[in-house]
Amino acid sequence: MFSIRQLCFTYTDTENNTVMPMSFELQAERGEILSLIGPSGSGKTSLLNLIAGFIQASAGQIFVDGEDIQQLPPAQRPVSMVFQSHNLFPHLDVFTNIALGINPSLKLSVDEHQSIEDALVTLGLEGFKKRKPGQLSGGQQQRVAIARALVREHDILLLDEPFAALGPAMRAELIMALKELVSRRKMIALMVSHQPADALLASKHTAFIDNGQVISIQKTSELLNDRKRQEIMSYLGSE
Amino acid sequence: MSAYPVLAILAFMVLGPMMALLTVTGVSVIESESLSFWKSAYLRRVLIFSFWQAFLSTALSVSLAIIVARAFARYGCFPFRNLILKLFGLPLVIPAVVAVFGLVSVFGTGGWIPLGRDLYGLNGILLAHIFFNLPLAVRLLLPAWKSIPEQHWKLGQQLGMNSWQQWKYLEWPTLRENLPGVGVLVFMLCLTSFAVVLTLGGGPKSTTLEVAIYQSLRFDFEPAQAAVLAALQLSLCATVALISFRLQKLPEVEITSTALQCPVDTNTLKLNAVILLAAVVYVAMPMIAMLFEAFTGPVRQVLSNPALWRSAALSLSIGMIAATLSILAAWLILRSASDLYYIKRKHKAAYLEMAGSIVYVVPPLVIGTGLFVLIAPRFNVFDWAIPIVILINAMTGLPFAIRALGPAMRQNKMRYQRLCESLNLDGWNRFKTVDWPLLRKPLGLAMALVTALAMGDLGVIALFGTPETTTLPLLLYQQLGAYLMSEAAVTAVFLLGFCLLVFWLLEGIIGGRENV
Repeated sequence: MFSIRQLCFTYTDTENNTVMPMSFELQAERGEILSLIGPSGSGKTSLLNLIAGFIQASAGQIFVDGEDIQQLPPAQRPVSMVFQSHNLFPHLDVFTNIALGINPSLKLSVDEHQSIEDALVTLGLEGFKKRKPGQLSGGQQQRVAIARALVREHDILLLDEPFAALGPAMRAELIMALKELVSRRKMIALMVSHQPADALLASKHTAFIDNGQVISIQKTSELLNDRKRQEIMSYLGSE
Repeated sequence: MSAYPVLAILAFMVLGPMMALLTVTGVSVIESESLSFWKSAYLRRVLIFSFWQAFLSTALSVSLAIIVARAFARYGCFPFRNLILKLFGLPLVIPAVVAVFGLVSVFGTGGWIPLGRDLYGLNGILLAHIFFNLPLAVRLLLPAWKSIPEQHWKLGQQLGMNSWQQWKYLEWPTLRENLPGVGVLVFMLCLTSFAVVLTLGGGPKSTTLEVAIYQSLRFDFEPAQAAVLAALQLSLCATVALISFRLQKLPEVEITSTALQCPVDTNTLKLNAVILLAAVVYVAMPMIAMLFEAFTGPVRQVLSNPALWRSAALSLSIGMIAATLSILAAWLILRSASDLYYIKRKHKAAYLEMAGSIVYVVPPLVIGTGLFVLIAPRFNVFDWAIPIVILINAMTGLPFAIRALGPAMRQNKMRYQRLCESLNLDGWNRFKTVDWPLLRKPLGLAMALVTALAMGDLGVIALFGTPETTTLPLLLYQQLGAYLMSEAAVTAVFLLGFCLLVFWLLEGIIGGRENV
């Protein structure tokens, strides 16, 4: 079980001289992907950054199976994150990029070597381990990033628009693969997306975020047809 | 008017002196006396020292710059970040002879850290070259850190990378792409450094090719020997320029105050602060020492000397005329280059811009020597001193003008050409409403920079200068040579202040104060 209680943060944009107080309240189940949708600048990525520990909350708690991880530094949180781009180090090959997820000193045991090989097979990347990221397609690069998240064996997987740069077919294929992995490994996954179709495909439940708050968590199909809330209607463009 | 007349003048200014040099060198090779010079221990020593001092200066400046730039990048935002960046930009406009005086005030006999006679020779040259090139290399290397994607820093944090692992996986791979370009640039600057070696070099043991050329012309009256040395210097510079062309990736100089969001622990923060402080002290100390010495010196006596004001007026005239010529040439070259970019002939445009940077291959002193050899048999070269100094300074400033104006002119053409055509906006109307507002800022910077550089130049003027054509840097050099240190301190501060004032005024008047 994963929950966030009154997680507060004040976003300051010095260039545009804007300040936005945020306060999040959220729950997610193991084994499923919770999609996060909402307008640009609503706080979706900030929420992921708060969970990962890249930015510090001023108050609140993040519970994973009853344990508060809010005070832990990023490296000690049971979290792996996949970004939209720049997930891989371009000068390192696929194997090394994944291995860094286990140990940055690259001193790996036989079992750890094997777990990387397994992850490569799971993500359909066998035969690519000696390639550099520049020699892979966009979809393959994101698979490598997911493979690294898998070998880390952390409970929480954060996905910040990971498929935004991919075509519809590749996106659907990767979402299905990811959904199966999250379900099999009983992970907690949060995925920021700008595509309602992706949320529908990936998630049983979706959260709508606006103005630094979780406005609603519902079944995805219900949320996407919600006519009662003005924010959701104006975001989705519904009449 | 197209760029071709400018290119023709440039070609004449380079090829004419070179032909003269090659003729003299060719003749001299056959003569047995000159043949022995080719094989002399003196020439070998000069060659080895030129390379050795340039190599050591580059190695020290660039490795220290990496440490300082890393501390800078990882320290994040702090109140004086912008001010320090500006301080690190100062050595670019400080006349070399002024900086040398500052270093002598700190490290000379009676200075704050006295090295005595050890200052003169390799030690002094290295200290001066680090003073000039450490800040330059820091400013050139800093953007490498900014180009590391934010996601990589976050990944590093999440994967628990320590400082060494961050360096290995995140920083070094980005930095190593820029290092060869920066290294070759600094090496070239040290190889062609004249004023520093002239003033701090310790006699025949610490002479470089540039200074040897000057000595051959001004003291030994041996144009043939100078021609041989100039031909050697030319081939060395051409080789280095060729290497630099192959490694041409050179980042844009950081001019913003933004810092990357890279988390560091308290101890690292303290270490970074100490490194930054040491670098700031090293760059600021000579200027502070010089100011201190000047204000306790004979200020009234020096300032009431008419020679100082004559020299100042001459320096200002040389600077302004050279800068105007330089900007005009840059404008014509860049206008043609932008036209070529617009019709997608990028390579031809790039070659055109590169032609303006010919002084990187043929050093000003070599051109000066060639002109000396070319003119001397027919006229009194010293009568032609001012026009020659102006022309060569205009050529020296041309790469700076092209670098400052180029991106803005190109962008202006690419973005607004179609719009202007559709509005039938051309000629004066276009210049007034579109070009001037968009280009005045880089234009002001180019004008200010080239004027300040020409005003502070002690290169070609040392070759051609006479008591009637003494510029401020030459006056300062003469005072230093006569051990009039108190007077020199006042002149140095006057020259520095004058250059900075002219820079500030020109940048403000032409560039305007508001951001466009």
